[in-house]
Amino acid sequence: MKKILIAALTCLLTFPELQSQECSAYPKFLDALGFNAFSTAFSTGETNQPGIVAYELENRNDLHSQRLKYFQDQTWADAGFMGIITFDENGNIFVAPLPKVNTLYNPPGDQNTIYMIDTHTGKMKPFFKLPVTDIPDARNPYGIMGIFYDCAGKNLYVSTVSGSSKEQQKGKVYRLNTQNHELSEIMNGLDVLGLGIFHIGNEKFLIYGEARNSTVWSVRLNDEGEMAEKQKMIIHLGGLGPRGDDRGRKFRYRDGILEIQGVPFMYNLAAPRQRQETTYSFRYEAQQGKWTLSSIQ
Amino acid sequence: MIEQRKAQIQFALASPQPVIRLVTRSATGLFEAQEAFIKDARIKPFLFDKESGSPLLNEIFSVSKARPTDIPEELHTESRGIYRVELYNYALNATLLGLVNPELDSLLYLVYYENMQPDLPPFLGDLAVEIAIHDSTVIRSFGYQPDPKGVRMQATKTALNRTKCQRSKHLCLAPTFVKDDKALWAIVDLHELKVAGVKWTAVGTTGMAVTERLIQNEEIMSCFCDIENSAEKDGWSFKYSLSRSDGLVLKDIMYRNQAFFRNVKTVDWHVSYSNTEGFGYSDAIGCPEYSSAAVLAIEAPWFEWICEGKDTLGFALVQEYFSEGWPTPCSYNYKQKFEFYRDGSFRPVIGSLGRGCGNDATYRPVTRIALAGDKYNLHLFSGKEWVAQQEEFWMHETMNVEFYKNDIVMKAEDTEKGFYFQANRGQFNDGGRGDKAYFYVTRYDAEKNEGETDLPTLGSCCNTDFRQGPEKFIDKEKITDESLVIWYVPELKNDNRKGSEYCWAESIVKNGIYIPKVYPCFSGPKIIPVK
Repeated sequence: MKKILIAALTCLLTFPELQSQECSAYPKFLDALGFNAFSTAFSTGETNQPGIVAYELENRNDLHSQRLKYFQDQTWADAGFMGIITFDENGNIFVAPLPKVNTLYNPPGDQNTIYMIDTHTGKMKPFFKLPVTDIPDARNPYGIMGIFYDCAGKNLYVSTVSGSSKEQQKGKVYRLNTQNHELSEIMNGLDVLGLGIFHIGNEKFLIYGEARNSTVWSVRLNDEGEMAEKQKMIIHLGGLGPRGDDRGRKFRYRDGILEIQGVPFMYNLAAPRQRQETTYSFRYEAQQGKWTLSSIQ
Repeated sequence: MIEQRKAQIQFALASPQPVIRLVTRSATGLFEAQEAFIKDARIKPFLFDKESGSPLLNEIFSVSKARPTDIPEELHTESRGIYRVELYNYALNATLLGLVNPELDSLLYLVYYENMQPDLPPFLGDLAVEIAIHDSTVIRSFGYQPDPKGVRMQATKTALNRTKCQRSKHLCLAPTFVKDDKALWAIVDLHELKVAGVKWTAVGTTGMAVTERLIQNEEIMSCFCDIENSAEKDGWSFKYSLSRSDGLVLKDIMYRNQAFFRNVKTVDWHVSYSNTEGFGYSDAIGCPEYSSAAVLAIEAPWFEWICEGKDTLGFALVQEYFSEGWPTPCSYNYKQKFEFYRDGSFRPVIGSLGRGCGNDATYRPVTRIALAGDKYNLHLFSGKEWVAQQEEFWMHETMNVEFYKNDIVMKAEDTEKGFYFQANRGQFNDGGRGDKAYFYVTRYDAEKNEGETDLPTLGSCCNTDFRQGPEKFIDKEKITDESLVIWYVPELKNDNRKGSEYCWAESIVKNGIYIPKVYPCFSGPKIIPVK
């Protein structure tokens, strides 16, 4: 099986075996399209183009290199603009809607559905609709914010801020078994923007960024995927970077570095070219028992 | 101190190298390093605007002997006698870091950091305190003029204090004045030498970073998004508040105790670009947080007088909306004015201040005007007489329309009052070039709502005909003796040609920093009471 990314097994001095749980495989439908899977990237960030697109790059290591091929199946724009993409070990793609600029293609009531692009057919269909407890309105156009596939249990970890208001956080973090569609609530009453699942030895950790402030937290999960301890704040992005108030949207661990993609988030939409993203890299300092900033890009 | 600073800036800008120096001749070694850095030819492009050649404001923030860790490997062989110089460019919000050997009179190494501010010299902290303690908002918030000796963290760059001026991208400092168990943060903008905002926090607690954006958003949210305000002036009274996607909403507008309008607002901005078919954006305007708006209110609405010569004709309530980065390409700024005239006329004005993604843009704001009262009839002029319309309809003011008295498009009347709708042909002395607008007349049905409360994005960006959204509410309903809503969609084409700019903005250099120069395009009909 072709691997998108080899799991990063780099050991830290005394934070050993923190592993990025990336078992992702390329979608099989790419072969039928004549795409070189190793040079193919998927994007949900195209200007003025709702949905998800695939393109083959001239240089796989440079996302800005020339696009040799481009593809979007008719179904891939069905849910409007979309957010973070995650793959499973068979090459199925999981993705959720995320409004951009306006709600024309992303009505607030439809933002809590996970979609899957089938690895064989390449067709996108609704995969699972998370419960919607409050009728969403213009005060919070968002639903699912974070999505991460953990291949150890074939689970999707998903955060949603659906129904939250300025006055009350109604966000939830769920674990969804992709095999039997069993849904378990991991957190309730907390708005989480981005999340990732990482392993230390046999222990599983959920790392997440809060939506209402710049803190990043870690919590150990038990075998059932439930919180096994109280959450610990491990990083504060406040004051860092060009804006100083970024929230952690996306997490990645590689080569001993925890990369956090930080974005401003105020529960409103963004103007077209307002893309503001900064990558904060942290290294664990065992002697001090904390993560220290190693770079901002 | 503030006046001295202004003089220092003017002196620097008039110099061949527009740089405020940090060290004087008495600082042997440091001074030579500073001068060798400034006079190097590689620095020059950084000091002047590329297009106009105008001087940009620069300041040396630090000159020091370089530490071994400052020196890249390739220079280690000549590491003795090397000085590190940091220069901040206020216009570009960028930093130049150089390594200089003053004995050789040469710049050995140079690196440019975009959107980066170096650590500040202490005197800028003193300046920030001086600005803060003399600021009327600080004095009013603190209760009296704070003692500069009670300041904390005055010499700390805001970045270290978790404080930023994210929107203006200016260099800001945050002197903090403690009173009992609270601390007043004053964000001082060192580009404009003024206080950008103040905020009380509890001493000793760690909360959100106090930043320009936080202060701006908190004020707008608590004063205009979460509550409804009211105003009474010149015989007019109304309520107003900022909405989540329909901008500033005016309700219950009355003139001399007579209800004129129930609800007036702009629900959408459609921006299309003609050079690329289907390319454009539908923007909503509104609150800066917890909203579906992409172009945000970040400053409070304000009142201003409408004057003509020496006469005051009325007043206006004004609100601006802003997207991050404006006026850089693909960012937007909209301005809304509700004009109230002493003769009972009313004009909902909406305009673009540029700049958008190109010079081929057409802006189509969608304004909704709900008349107060439920017994209205809508009349069009036949050329001879007014003819009551029976069903909901749309029309374009250039399509076979007979105007009454040259520019009156339609008339709405109930048993007590009536209004003429006057087309905008550029006669309103606001630089407008005419609207070529679509009018839509629909029946108001409280059960259907049809935009009475916050309306999600109504239409696509890029339709060039009547399909701007309000047509969705036209379904042949009867409009005689009914509560009516008038929708208004002008068509504003931008222009960036020198001398005829319209719906446009550009950055120009003033006092060494970039400021926006705007060429607005205002639209809107005038609604005149029938006498």
